[in-house]
Amino acid sequence: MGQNALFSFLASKGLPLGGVPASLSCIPLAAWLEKKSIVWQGALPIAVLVSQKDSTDFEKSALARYLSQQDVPVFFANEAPTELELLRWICDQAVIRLEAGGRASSDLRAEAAALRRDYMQLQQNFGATEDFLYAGFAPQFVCSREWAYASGSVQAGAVRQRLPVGSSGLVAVDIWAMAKGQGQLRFTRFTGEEFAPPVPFFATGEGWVRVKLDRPLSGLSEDVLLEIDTDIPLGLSLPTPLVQFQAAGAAAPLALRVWKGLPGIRMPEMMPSKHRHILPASDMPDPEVKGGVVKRLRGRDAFSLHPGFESRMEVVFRDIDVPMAANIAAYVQNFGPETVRLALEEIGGLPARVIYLQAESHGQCDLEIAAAGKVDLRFTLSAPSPMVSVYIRGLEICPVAG
Amino acid sequence: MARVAIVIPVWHHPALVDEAVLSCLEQKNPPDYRIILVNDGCDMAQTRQSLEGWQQAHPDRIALLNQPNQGLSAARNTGIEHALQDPDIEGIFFLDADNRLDSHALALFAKLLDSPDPAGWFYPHLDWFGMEANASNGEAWSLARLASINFSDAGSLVRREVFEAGVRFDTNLKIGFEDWDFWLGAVKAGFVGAPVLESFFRYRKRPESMLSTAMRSDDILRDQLRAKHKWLYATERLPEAWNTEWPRFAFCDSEGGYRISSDPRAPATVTRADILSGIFNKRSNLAESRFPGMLVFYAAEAWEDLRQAKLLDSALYQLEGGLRASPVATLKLTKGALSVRAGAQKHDSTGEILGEADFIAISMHHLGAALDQKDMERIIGYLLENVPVQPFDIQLPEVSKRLRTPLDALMDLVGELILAPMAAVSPRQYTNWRVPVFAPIARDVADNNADGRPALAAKPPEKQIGFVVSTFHFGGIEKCVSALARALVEQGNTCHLFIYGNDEAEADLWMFEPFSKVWVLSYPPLRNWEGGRYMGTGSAEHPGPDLLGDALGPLAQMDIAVNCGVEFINHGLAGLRQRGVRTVSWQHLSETTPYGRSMGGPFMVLGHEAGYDRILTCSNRLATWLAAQGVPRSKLLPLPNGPGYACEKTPRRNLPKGRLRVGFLGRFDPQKQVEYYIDVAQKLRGRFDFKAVGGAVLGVAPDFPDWLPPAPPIRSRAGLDAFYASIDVLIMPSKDEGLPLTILEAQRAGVVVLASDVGAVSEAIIDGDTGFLLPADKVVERSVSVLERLDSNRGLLMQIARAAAGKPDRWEQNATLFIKSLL
Repeated sequence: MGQNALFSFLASKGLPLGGVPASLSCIPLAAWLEKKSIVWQGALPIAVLVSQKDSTDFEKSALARYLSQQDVPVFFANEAPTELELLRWICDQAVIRLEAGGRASSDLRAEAAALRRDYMQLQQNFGATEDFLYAGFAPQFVCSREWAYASGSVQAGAVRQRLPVGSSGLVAVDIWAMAKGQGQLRFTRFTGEEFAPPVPFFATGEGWVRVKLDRPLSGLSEDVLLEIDTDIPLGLSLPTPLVQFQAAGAAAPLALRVWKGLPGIRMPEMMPSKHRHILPASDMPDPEVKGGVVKRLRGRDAFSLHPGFESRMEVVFRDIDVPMAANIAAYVQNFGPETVRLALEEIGGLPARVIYLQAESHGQCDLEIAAAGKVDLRFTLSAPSPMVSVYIRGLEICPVAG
Repeated sequence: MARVAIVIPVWHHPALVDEAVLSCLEQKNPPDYRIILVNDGCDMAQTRQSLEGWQQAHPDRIALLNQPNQGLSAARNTGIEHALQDPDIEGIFFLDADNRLDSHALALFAKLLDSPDPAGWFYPHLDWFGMEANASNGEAWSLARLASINFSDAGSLVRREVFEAGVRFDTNLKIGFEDWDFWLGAVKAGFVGAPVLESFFRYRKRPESMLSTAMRSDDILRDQLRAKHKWLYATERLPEAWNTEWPRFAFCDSEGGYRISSDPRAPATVTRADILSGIFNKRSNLAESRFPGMLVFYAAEAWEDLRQAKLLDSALYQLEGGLRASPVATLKLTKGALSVRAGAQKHDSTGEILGEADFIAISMHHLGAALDQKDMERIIGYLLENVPVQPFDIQLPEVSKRLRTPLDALMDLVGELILAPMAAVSPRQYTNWRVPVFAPIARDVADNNADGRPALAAKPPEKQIGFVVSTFHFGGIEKCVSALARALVEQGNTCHLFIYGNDEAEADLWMFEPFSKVWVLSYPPLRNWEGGRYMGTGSAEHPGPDLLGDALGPLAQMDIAVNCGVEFINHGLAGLRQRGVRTVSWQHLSETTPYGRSMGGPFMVLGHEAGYDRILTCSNRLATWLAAQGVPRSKLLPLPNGPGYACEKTPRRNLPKGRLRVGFLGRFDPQKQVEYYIDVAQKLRGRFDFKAVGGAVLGVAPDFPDWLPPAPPIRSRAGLDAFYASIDVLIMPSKDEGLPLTILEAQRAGVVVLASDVGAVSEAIIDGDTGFLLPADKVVERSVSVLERLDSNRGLLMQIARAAAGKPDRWEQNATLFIKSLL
């Protein structure tokens, strides 16, 4: 039985209800008195009017028990009420219901205002946090997964590749182009719905090509499928036994680097340009090492430096592209228990700049590059003992004015 | 008209339900759908206001149902009934009031309903918010896994056909697991689920929730599910699902053949490439890969030897158990009397064990760890050298010559694994971002299989009867077991022999003939009688869950399990009965201590009577005794013995001339009192010919006079026939007996038997008519006088011999009674 009117009430047959307006829907009570299982469809009635004849049956009914639990008022018309008395009472109940609705609306407005206030504060705090992170050269994005190029390729055309990471924070993927060409990449769900508009890409030759979204994907994490349309073959990584991660038609996944950032915030420039830009550890070449061990930490987007028994080591990064005269700042962190000495120099350039990094601290090691070109950078680490662990997070390249 | 209904039961989530409803309304490209809000008698006015507000704002989209509080199941059922009133509804999705749908969910539902996938329902990954986590739904259906854990959230899309088959939520499950019960009900009705591979549903995970409440009552609720769904948990359905969905062995034979299966006989041939990719797949995704957890390399000839000896399943089962404690287990066959021995775990520093093995089993976990090593030398070293090995040794009467060893096959495969491109890839390289859902582990399945790993092969349609013995020599009880089994097989049943306890089984091969499979488990704890005493008879200590489980696992596949005196099995009777196995004890005789106290099996079965459906006795007398001790008559089934083996042709006997030939046959143990026989022989030396055949098993043999050297025990039917043909009179002066087969077999052969009147001997001999009963306190005197009488009256001898020889064989009748009584 459907009761979809805004306000309805139940009433016994024979009660004088002629004056009740039509907007208050009257539902006969008799049909409900016998029901043992109560399922009331739509808004609950605002009231029940029970005649003397029905009162005993009503009090015994399942309906009475349920409506009592739900605080629905009942009027027992035992002394032959007039039409006016019933009209007044039923209108009172409608007003009470309206007042309750009004109170609920007022409560909701208060809740919404509180949420707005918190949301504004959250945005301001987030902005400040973001500025702080930029200023400190903390990683804004990390290489979340890398499947290095191995051998072989998939043909030009449509290529599908499932990602091994969730969507939240996903900002870019690098794919391995086998030749010069172009294409378009879509980040989609398995059923085809896109997370973002398609992103075009252009490859200048064999190597990594970055396909970047405007900002990292936000929202709760989901599985992601890459759908690529391209006119060039794409390189494959090492084979995988997990069929779900194989590129369609191959025994291996695409060679792939997956980048993640903070969901929903803006994406700093990742490619060298004539402006201030950042070269994260994952975009730096593998270094030459003397006197210790360097590990590339993919998950943290950093190089970890561990000196040998002489507590001193040299690390050289070759062919760093500096587009113009610039100040280079290396962002470094010391996780060890002792202060370390760190020097940064351009091989064949100006004398080294030295900083002393306190235990469990971070800092910047600066260097001026006089002219555009490829430079070799040498870090020299000295520590009181081999018991140190120093991270190089990356380089910030700031063009010098003029 | 709507194609999809979303049922949202609401109770005590007056604010969060707004998020649920809003997530349903904010859909992109949805099919026509309806939202059914069910207010389950929530006592918060805010809930009523919220739901009425939503319904009034979207009257064409939202239906609101109000009912007195009856619990989540009833609320969902109310929503289901309302939805089904619309004949166009093809599927119903269940969204709890605190959860959410993604905006593409409805569009996805339309695709799922249109898909040719016959699944009854589609279940999501477990994407939590609040306490954030993303767990996989396994990405492939598995009933065995559903029996272990509920990986199918209630937030699933269920096809209309499931409800039309009568499946509903159980309103008695008020504190949780009602969704798990619903899925099990759907499977029972003939449906399966299908995982959805992309996210669409978000579960609000809070530290305190209905689920966390349910988890606190996990054991109780699981027990409820098991009790309700006996069709799954107490039948072969779960073991079969596990064996089929999660094959247990990857077999690699020495001739280059490969199979993946739980059943060693299944023709599940695969290629070498399948094995290689399967190994890497398992290594990369241990929890979800369906590749077996162990590799078995074997010499093809050894496989055939074990198959012919009916020991193949048992051997593989033992190897599987051996990998619990060692990464590698081996099995070696040698020629000799049948025996199965588990050796002590040892490091194979010289490679001798692996080199000589006929079977090598390696756990996939160990192989995966080996492949993590840097280079070939280290991989081989980790995999095979100085590794703890669990060896098993099996003796068989016949062992074929090996052409190629399993180690050769293993090394071939390892070589290919090392050179495979995938070997260079770290398994972590391709780790999925989702947490894997756990595979059903053997323990989960065992919990529902009388606590034991299931047998390997599917249960055949005919009735399965298992006989459990502690030893299987050429003894009386063993011959009874074999004889009854033979008669049962002739009546269309299948019999299995379980030798649980001693490691040798030196019975003749013909005694194994009736059995389809022979299962052997021989560890010292299984021979233990050091537990508590009941009425003066010691019981067995619990052998530990693993060992008991190994014993019970294959037994759980039997329709009837007959325990012939294996005491430790009594610890597992409840599990077997829960699994639907009819449990039977077969009793033969009490023994007597040196001080004269009766003890033994019949006393112990009094203590375990409640665990048995039937107690068989070898005689009416023992049945009466057990009844007198309190065993209900309805549980007792006397199966009086017949001769222990079939005799093709009874020799014709003529009136003996010359000296009468007198014999003794049996163990030279105190129970048999062979010294009385020696006394009789000494008194009548020179007037009769005497011979004694047997050996000491449980004690020290008495001194035999030089003129009466004992002959060794007889272990063959022909030997027995020859022995009986060589004597005219048999003397059995035992202290204790049941209803000895020796008497029945001698009588059949026309030998006159003189036996002490103990046990149920009088059921076989009518004194002076079909033999002679010897008073227990006058065995020697009475024997001498009867022998002298028979010597002087050869006609009487022939008369008694003929009267005794005409008894019918009882085993066919016994088998009929046995089946009628139990099935």
